[in-house]
Amino acid sequence: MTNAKPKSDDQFQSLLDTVERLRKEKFPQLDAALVREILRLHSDAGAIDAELARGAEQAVERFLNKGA
Amino acid sequence: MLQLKAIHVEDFGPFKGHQTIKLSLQDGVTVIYGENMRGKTSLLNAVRFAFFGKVLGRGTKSMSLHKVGNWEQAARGKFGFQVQLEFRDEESEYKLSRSCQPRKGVSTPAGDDDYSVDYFVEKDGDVLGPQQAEAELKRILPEQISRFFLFDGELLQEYEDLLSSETDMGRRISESIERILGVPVLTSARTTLLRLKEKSEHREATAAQGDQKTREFGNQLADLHAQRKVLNEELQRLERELENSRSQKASLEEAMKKKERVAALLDKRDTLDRLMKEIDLRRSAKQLELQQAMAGAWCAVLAEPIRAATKALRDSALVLQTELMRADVLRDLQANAASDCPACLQKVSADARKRIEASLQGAGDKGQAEKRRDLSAIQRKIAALEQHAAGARSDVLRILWDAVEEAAVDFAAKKGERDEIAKQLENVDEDSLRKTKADFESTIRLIDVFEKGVAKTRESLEQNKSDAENIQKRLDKLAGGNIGAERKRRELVTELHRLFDESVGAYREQLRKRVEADATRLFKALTTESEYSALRINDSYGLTIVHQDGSDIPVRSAGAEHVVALCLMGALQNNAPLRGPIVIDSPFGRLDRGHTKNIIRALPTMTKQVVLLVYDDELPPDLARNELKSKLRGEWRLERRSARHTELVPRKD
Repeated sequence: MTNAKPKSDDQFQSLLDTVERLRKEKFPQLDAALVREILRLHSDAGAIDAELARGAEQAVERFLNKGA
Repeated sequence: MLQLKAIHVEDFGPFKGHQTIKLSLQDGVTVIYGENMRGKTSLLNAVRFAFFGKVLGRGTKSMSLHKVGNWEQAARGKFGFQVQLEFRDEESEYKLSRSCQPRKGVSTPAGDDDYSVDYFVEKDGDVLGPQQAEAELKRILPEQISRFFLFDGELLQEYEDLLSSETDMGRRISESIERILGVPVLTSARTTLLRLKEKSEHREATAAQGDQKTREFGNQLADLHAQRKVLNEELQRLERELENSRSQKASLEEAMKKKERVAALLDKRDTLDRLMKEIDLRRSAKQLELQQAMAGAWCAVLAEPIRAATKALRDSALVLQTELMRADVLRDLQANAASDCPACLQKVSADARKRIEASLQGAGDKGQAEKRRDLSAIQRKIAALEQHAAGARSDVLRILWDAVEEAAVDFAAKKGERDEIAKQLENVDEDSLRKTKADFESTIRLIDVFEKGVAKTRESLEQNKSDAENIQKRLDKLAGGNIGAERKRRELVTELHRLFDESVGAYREQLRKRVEADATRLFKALTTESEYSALRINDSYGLTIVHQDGSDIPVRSAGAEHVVALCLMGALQNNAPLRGPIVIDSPFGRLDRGHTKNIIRALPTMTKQVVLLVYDDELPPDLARNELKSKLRGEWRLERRSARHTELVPRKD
C-alpha cells in the first residue's frame, strides 16, 4: 500500500501511459524523460509542495541547460 | 500492500484488560461474530483510533474519547485505553501503538481535555521519530481515504449522495475517490507547473524590462503579473473559505439529518403553540360576546308576555294611526271645497261636507294632539319591548355558547398533543438544535457570498490573462537582452502545464470507464435480479443500476444501495494505487440470504484481506464456511462476560 517505488507501481505506469499518450499525440515537441521526471516527483505521496516546486524547477533547468 | 497481523486492545470499549486478535496474512476473510452491543463497532473503531486517533459514533461523528474507555475499569478508578496494531507493508513490519491516558495530575478525568493521546510507530524493530512516524502513517493509510477500508452500513448509505452532484457530502466522497485513484498526482503536477509557468512569465517580463526595445511591454507585463499574484492569493483564500463552508454545510446537513425527527417535533410544537394562541383569542372574543348577550338573557323568561304585549300595543298603534290619518283627510277636504274625495276621486256632496264638519267639530284639535302623543308613547313601548325580545333570543345564545365550547374542546385537544410532544422533547437540547439550524442557514448564505467572490475573481483573472497574452504576443515579435532564454523557459513550462492539464481530464475519463466496468462485473456477480444488466457511472462516480432494456432504475432500496456501494468499493480497490484490508461492520444487515451468499463469495476477489464483523443471524457460520471454503482464514467470537465486558475468543463450534 505505497507508491514509494513508483517505477514499479502499476498506478504510476497507468498515469504515465495516459500522459505519454497525450504527449505523443499533442505535444511531441516535449521531452518524454522530462515529463516522466515531473510525474515521478509528484507520485511521491510524502513530498511537500515546496519540494515539488523546487524539484520540477530543477528538472526544467537541467533540461534547458542540456539543450543549450 | 498493508496487511493487518494483530489487533491488541486494552480497556477499549467493552474489551476489558489486554486482549488480542490475530489475523492471517494469507489471502482471505476473517469473520468476527458478535451479537448486538458486544463490541463489533468498537473493534472497527479500535483500528480507526490506532491509525487516526479518532473514534466514530453514530452519524459518523467523532465520539468523545472520555466515553471510550472500559466502564468497569473506570468504575474501579482505572481510566484510559490503548490499541496496538501489528501490520506489514511493502516488506516492512510495523507496530503502531496509540494510547489515551489521563493527563498527569488528573485522577478522575471528566472530559476529553483531561486526557492526552500519544502514539509511536516501530518499523522493522526501530522506533521512528515523530515526523517520520506521521509521514509513514500518511503514506500507508491517509485518513481521507480511510472510508474505503474501514466502514459500516451507515457509511455505505452515504454513497447514494454521489448520484446527486448537488450535495456537499457527494462532493466530499467524490474527492476521496479521486484521491484513492491517484488523480491528485496529476492535479498536483498541474498546480506545480502553473506556478512555474507564472514564475517564468515573471522572469521573462523582468528580462524585457532590462532592454530599451522591450521595456514598455515588460513593464506592462510586470504590472499584470503583480495584479495576478494578488488575484490568485485572493482566489485561494476564497476557495479555502468556500471549501471550509462546504465542509461545514455537509457536517451540519448530517447533524440535521440525525435530528430530523426532533426538528419535526419542535416545528409541530411551535405550530401547536401558535394555533393554541389563536384558539384562545377566538374563545375570549366569543366569551365576551356571550357575556354581553347574557345581560339580556333574563328576558327569555318573559318572552311570551312580551310578545303578547307587543302585539296588543301594535294593534292600538294601528287604531290610533288610522284615526289620525282619517282626521287629516277630512280636514283637508274641509279646507278645500273644490277638492275631490282622495279615495274614490268623486265630487264630495254638500251633505257629505256637513257630516265632515260635524265629525271634525266633535273630535277637536285637542283630541287629535292627545292621540298623537298616545301613538308616540305606544311606539316607544314597542321599541323597548322589541329590544328585550332580541336579548331573549335563545338561538343566538346557543350559537355563541357552542362557539365557546368548540374553541375550548379544540384548545384542549391541541394542548394534549402539545404536552405529548413536550414529553418527548424533555431531554432535547433545543438551543443546540436551533443553533444548528441557524448555523446551517448562515453557512448557506456564506457559501453564496464565497461562490460569487470566486466567480468574480476568476473573471478578473481571465481578463488579466487575456491582457497578458495580448502583450506577450507583441513582445514575442521583439528580441533583446536575456529575453530569448527566458522565453524558451516560459514556452517549455507552458506546454508542460497544458499537457498535464489535459492529462487530468483524460485520466479521469479513463478511470471512470475502468471503475464502471469493474463495478458492473461485481454487480452482475452480486445481484440476484437477472434483469439488471449493468451499472452506469456519472461524473461524480455515482452508480446507477441499468435494466437489460437499457433504461435506468430510478429508485433503489436500502439493500440495493448497499450492494451498489460494495461494488463501488470493490472497483475502487481494484483501481487504487493504495491497497489494504477491508474491515466491515455489519455489512449484511439489510440484505437477503441470496445477496449475502453472493457477496461472501465475491469478497475475497475485492482485496487480499477482509475482516467481517457480523452477528450470527446476519451471516450464519455454516453459510460463511460453505461459501468461503479455503478463503475463510479465521473465526473469532465476541463473548459476553458482563454488560460492560467482552472477551475476544477464537470460535471453535
